[in-house]
Amino acid sequence: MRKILILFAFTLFLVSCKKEVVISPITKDAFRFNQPEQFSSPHYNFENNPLTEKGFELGRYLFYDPILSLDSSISCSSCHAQAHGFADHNIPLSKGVDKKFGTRNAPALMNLAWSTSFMWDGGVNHIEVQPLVPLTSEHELGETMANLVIKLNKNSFYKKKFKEAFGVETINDQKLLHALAQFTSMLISSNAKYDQVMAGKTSFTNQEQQGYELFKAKCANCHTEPLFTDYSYRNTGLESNFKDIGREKVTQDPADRGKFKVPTLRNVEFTYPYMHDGRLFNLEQVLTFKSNGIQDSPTLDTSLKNGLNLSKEEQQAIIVFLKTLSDYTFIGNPMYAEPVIQ
Amino acid sequence: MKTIKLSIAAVAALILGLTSCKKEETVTPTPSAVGNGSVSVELSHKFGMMNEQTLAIGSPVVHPMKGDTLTFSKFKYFISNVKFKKADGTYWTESESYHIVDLATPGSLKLNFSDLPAGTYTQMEYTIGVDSARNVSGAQTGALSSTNDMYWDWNSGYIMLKAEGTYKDNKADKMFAFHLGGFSGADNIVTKRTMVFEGATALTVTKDQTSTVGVEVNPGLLWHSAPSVKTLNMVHMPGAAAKLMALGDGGLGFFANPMYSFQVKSVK
Repeated sequence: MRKILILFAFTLFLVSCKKEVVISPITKDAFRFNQPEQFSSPHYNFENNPLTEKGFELGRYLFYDPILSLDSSISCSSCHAQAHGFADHNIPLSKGVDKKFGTRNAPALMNLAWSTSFMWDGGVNHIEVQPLVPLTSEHELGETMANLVIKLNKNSFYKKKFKEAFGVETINDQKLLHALAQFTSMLISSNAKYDQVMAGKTSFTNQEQQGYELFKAKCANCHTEPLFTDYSYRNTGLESNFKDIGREKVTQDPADRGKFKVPTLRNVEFTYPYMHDGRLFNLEQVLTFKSNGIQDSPTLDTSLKNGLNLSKEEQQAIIVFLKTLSDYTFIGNPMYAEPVIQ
Repeated sequence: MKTIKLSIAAVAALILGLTSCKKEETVTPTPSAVGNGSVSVELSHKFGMMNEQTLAIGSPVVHPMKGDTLTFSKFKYFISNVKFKKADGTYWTESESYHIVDLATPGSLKLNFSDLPAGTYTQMEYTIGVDSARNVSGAQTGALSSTNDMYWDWNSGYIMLKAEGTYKDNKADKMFAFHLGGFSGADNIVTKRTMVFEGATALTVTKDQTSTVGVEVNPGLLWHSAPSVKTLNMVHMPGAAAKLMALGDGGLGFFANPMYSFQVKSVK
């Protein structure tokens, strides 16, 4: 009888232990995806990667840590800097390990949870697998996924952080990619002056309003509000003899020659230089080009066939409007800043 | 009113009938009743018209139709979504069923399936490649991990088959590299297949025992429709060339050939 009682007590103990494990730090998190009211539901829904504060923080550590590069010289943040809307430090092409340059301008990172594809040519189909390109490209971080997993598993800081975030003893590539996706999908910019105006909290100046009207008439077809992209691929007439075939590389369809993804224009003031190869250094150059610098070719977007034909004054008004898309709460958000390792 | 009542009764009876039918189909014998056994599918890779050459890493083989002398340094491919069908029509389905068969890793040439209910099995259903769902669902693990070097990062999708090595061209050694993939639309090469166990190769799973299925695999069928490596020595993306090698004209390529690419030779 006594033995049975002891066994019973022991069983109870086991059960209670198990319960405690289940409500461990991960489920205690009250950390949520901050859905802006003016945006649709995001494309990425964290289905296989539940968002937690620990997961997000781990992603943030990783994003800023040069451990992810071959020679520990650069991190994601080297070419995606918060002050520049998570684009590079105002240089056309980015420098990877061994001082190798890529061929395309590092895109600004924001509102990625709404994006259905990634990279200038849309070759990547999911936010979780996007980092595979920069991590393993010899022009970027130059690592292999297998070696990254080995390095992280030797690192006591990350062993602890991955265990806290995902409850795993051994770090694998999936968890690394999940952590990065938790950070990058939370980079949400939705609080520019434009958003304040749309919410009725403030109003545009006359010139901003003039620019907004022109923008709606001439630009919003592709740079669709409120995310300022329609996620399509278009040839904007930069050249007629293509150095970079763009989307055709992915689809192998000549109809996609010279097409690149329409980038968002949020925080565009901070993300210069512009275009897929960073060839235009300021917004004045971009508007001048779109007005009367378009090169014709078979795949040129029909909306740009004859250029936008904007006067200098109209171009200036559009530029003034575009600066209302600058979100200082985004580029200054301490949640996104380089973490201090305690 | 009466007719309504009658039809309700009829519908109810029909639903009951359907439900019970369905139940009967999906009932799998409980382990306690008949016990569970294992199946080991052992793949031996061959070359030649009659599978007369053994394919191994580093050993030259000659293609019987194209005459090419090929020495493989790498040969890997995915087998996935394995299901075994019992004589009574019920299925045993492997969960998280993704395997990389790698000629350089002897262990990977034996696909081991355990905890199958004992009984007679008529066929194994499987897929060459990785289903489209896993190609579009983000970061994966196990055989589908990005560390396995079987994934295109720049154009998201699994490399379903990787064959690399050298060939003789006028006594010179030249490189070949075939990375075959494509999971959607016109580029889709993912192929569902069935291996039949009957007659001399009937498969019986016995409690606590392992049944061994011997299968001969002939990757030479990659070139059933594709030209000589002297003409085409590299494929690095989904498209027409990958389809020609994997599926072939008339479905006679390596992934699809119903008779000769995967042949059950013995069951023990």
